[in-house]
Amino acid sequence: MHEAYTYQLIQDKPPLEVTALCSYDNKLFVGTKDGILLIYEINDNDDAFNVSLVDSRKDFTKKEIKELYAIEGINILLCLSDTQLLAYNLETLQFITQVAKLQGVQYLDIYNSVSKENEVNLFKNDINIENNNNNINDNNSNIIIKLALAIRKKLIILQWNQNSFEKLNEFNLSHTIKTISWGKEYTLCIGFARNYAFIDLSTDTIDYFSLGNSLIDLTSFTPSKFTKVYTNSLPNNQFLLTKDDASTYIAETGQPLKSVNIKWSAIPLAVVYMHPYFIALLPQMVEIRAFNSGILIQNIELNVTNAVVSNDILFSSNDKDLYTIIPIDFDNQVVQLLNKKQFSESLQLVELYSSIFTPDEKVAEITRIRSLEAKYLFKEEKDYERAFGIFLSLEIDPNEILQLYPMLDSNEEILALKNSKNNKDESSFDKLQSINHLVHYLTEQRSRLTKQRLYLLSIQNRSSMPKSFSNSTINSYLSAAVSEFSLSTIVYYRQLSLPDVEALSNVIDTALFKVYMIVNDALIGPLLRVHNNCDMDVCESLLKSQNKYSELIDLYKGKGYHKKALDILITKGESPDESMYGPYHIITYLQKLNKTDFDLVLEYSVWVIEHYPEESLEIFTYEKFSGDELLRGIIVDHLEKHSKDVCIKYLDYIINRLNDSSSENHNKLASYYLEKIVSLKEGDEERKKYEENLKNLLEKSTCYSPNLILSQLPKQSLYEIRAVLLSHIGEHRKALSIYFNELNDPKMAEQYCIKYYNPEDEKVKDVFFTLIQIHLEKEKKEEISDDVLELLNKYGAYIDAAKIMEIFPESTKLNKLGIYFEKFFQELMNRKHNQKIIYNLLKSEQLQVREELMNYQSQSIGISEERVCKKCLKRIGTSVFVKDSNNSVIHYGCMKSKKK
Amino acid sequence: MSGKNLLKAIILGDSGVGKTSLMNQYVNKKFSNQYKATIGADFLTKEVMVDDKLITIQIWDTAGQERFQSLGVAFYRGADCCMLVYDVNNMKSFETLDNWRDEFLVQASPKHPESFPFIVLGNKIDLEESKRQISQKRAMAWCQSKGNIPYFETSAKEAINVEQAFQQIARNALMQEADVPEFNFPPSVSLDAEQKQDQGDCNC
Repeated sequence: MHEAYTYQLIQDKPPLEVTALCSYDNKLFVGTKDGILLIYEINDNDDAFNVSLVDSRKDFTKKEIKELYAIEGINILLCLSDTQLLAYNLETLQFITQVAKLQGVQYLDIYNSVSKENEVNLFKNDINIENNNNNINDNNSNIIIKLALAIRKKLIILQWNQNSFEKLNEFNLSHTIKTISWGKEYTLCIGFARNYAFIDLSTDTIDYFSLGNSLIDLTSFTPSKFTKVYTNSLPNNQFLLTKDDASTYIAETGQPLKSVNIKWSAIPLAVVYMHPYFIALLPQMVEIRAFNSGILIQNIELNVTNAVVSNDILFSSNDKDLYTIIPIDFDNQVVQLLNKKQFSESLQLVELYSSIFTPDEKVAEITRIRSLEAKYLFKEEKDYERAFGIFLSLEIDPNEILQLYPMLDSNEEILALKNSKNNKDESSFDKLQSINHLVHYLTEQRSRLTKQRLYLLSIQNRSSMPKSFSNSTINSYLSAAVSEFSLSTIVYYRQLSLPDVEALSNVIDTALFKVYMIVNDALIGPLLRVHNNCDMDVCESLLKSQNKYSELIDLYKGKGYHKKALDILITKGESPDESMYGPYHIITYLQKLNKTDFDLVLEYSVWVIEHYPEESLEIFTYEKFSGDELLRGIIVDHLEKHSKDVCIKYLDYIINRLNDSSSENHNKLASYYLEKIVSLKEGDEERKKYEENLKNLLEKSTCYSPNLILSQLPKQSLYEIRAVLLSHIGEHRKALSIYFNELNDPKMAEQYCIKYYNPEDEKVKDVFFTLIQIHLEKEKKEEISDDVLELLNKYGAYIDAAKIMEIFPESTKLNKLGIYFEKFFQELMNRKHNQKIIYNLLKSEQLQVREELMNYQSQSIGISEERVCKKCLKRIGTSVFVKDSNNSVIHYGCMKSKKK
Repeated sequence: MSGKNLLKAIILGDSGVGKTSLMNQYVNKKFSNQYKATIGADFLTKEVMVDDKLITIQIWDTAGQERFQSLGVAFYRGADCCMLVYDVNNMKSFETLDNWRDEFLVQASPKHPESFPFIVLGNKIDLEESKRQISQKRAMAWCQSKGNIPYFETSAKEAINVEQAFQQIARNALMQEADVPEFNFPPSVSLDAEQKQDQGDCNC
């Protein structure tokens, strides 16, 4: 309950009993029991409101004035007196005529197309009234005025025509008429004592309706002085039918609407509709109810019997006095309710006054009331659950909510609260409760901000995206994203620009950080690692004060302060009692850095290389870095400076694992191996390992420069490696001689020959011959030794007899060479047969091809004047053409473009 | 074990790793080679027996595309478990697991982030071995470093380990549920929780 209306006594009144009221323009006509008409003037300006008696007409009528109706547009004042309907000039108040000479008129209602339109417009929108008034004044000739008169059971319809009322129709109804109300131009609602009827004038049909049990128990009906039936025509073509102490809504079709029924505190003498309220005049008081719900709003203790609405003011009277009942404006009403903390009533009021708001204004007003409610729940009731239920449903500036948490502004208080978690102290317990609820609010705001950010970016991208990029998939994602945004009723976030979003996101994320610090510090790390706008200084100082170094590193990393993060990592890496002791945290950090920050990787890897050379390799072998061949060179240079050992391992990794093919890296690795080998004593296990590695490298790799390595090779040692190198540059003779002379290992020389022999390659086809030659040179005997004979017997097939004969000692006995020759000639015969087979095969292939050629050449097609290309349908003429298997022809050019 | 019989599971991971396929394989026993990007989020439910108890798992499938990552907090809140999915043949999808985990923790803000039931699925193991980029060892090391998250190598296509993975996550979520009363917040809160649980029982 609140005050929607206030009243005022009109002082200026003679002691006459008022029986009828009506208003026109700024005039109020008051009819009295004695037939006197009083004329009041209403002065309603911004400064004051007053009503003063300006004139009177004695002997206006002979008997009591029952009803008065001013009809604008045709300048007529109608007066019902002594069951006669009298017409007067509205300006001069001169009597004109008795309408239709009718007697016994009890009730009437007027249809006026001008005022009806105004009513409808008022309901739709206040603003247009003036325009419409102008229009209507221009079209006065089109004005339609109809009267409906009740004479007992008879209903008479009159219509204004030029200068008099003419009878249009007459109905005889089943019961005595108690009330008449016009709806639209052709609909009438007629109330009887027990039921009601709807009349459609366009078809002259009458529909009777029972009031039904829901409204009134008809059996208990006893006629009394107060029993009245009222109908009020409402702007949306509905009616409010009132009988006894109950009112019900009736649709324009005549069916009662069950949704709203009003039960008045007493039987009303009259019910007046004044948007958005119904005002009922009850004996001893005026009752005000909401028009949409029928909820009781206000009771005014005032005994009045008559009422008329004029320009949003209700004039009302009783036997003696005349009152104005003045509406209180919406803002004032809402303040009353809010002061009483009646939030849901305030919202109902907004709903009631819907028509005065634009949709946006309405949402803003609802938001304002809801947020007041939520703050009240938060502060006074400490009902955080409900408060945040409301906050989350609204789109208001999150700063407003954060203002409820002054404790988040001071680091001391944050830490005090953090440490108070196990206390049973009530005030800090309450604070913690409220902070727990803030977590979800803030995370929700984060996602709303993300949405708005993506939305703004998508708009930006769309305007800058060239057409070729807008393929269908991108488009469908975009439109899906955009439609998702437009569906949600973003009020607050919708108006944020990109810089606003970033600024607000800073506030939200920093607050979330603080809240996590207090209630759940395990979530600080995740927050700082995901995309966030946490304030650097605030987070830094809080984290430092709590020695949360791992989170501090996350913070620095997220903000791009890598040096700060790495400095901490090194300090922590050096202290054995820290959880971040050792190289792994820093290695992981360096691995995650971008290639653009590679300078930092190099700078901070030095510490790892120096302290943990083994592990430091993991930094550089990380796929992101080593996959980039440009970076490999930089890494190698860097490692050369700081640790040759690591450098060797790195080179080994990229060559053997990543198949690096840069000759520079291969040469470097070989040189470093050599360096290592030379620095170590012969026989040393490590040296052996290096020798093995070097040999493997030199044997497998084809990327190094053998001459370069040969020049670095120490003299008088590493013969095996020298042999490998010599073989690479084709110096097989030298290589074999090393096996023979330096290494004294004929078996390896033999293996060497098996490995390299290739009859097709000029360089190595005589490698076995060279082997024998070296053998003989070394032995320098008259006779060939058994060793040489054995080699001859084994590999004789690969040694040219003509050449070998020349180098045999002169005293060589031919019978010893029997097996060799046999082998050699067999090999020769073998080759000869092979060649013959190949020759014959080739010959037969040649014949086949020739036959095919002849076959093709025998085919022909004629190109005449009419012959056209199959594709372009133009003449072939003398152009180049192609024939396909169906004997159709096509331009050579056309065929090529067809293939494309 | 607690009275809760509805579990909310959320599937997260990069676009194209097979989140929707895993869910479809588990719930509908179907697989399609066609790729269709998920828009927004979608959920399916399945009833499953865990240690003689009938549980309804509500599986929330999400869009991996960045554009749809601004799902409301309501989506994450009340999640009982979270499945992180990557493609064993796609290094980037593995490297972003960290990010997905962090994002989930911030959005859902669980009371016990350290022991929240996550599970990691390395999907698409049906592709040839030579395409594989993340070894089982490496994935397991990551899971270990994040507090022993259970790890499964799956194939939504061949239905390998899918059933087992969902079974495991349901079990872990239930165990987590059982842990809740240990939470030393004041009586008013836990009283509420009990009432809610009672209602849950009546609903059947």
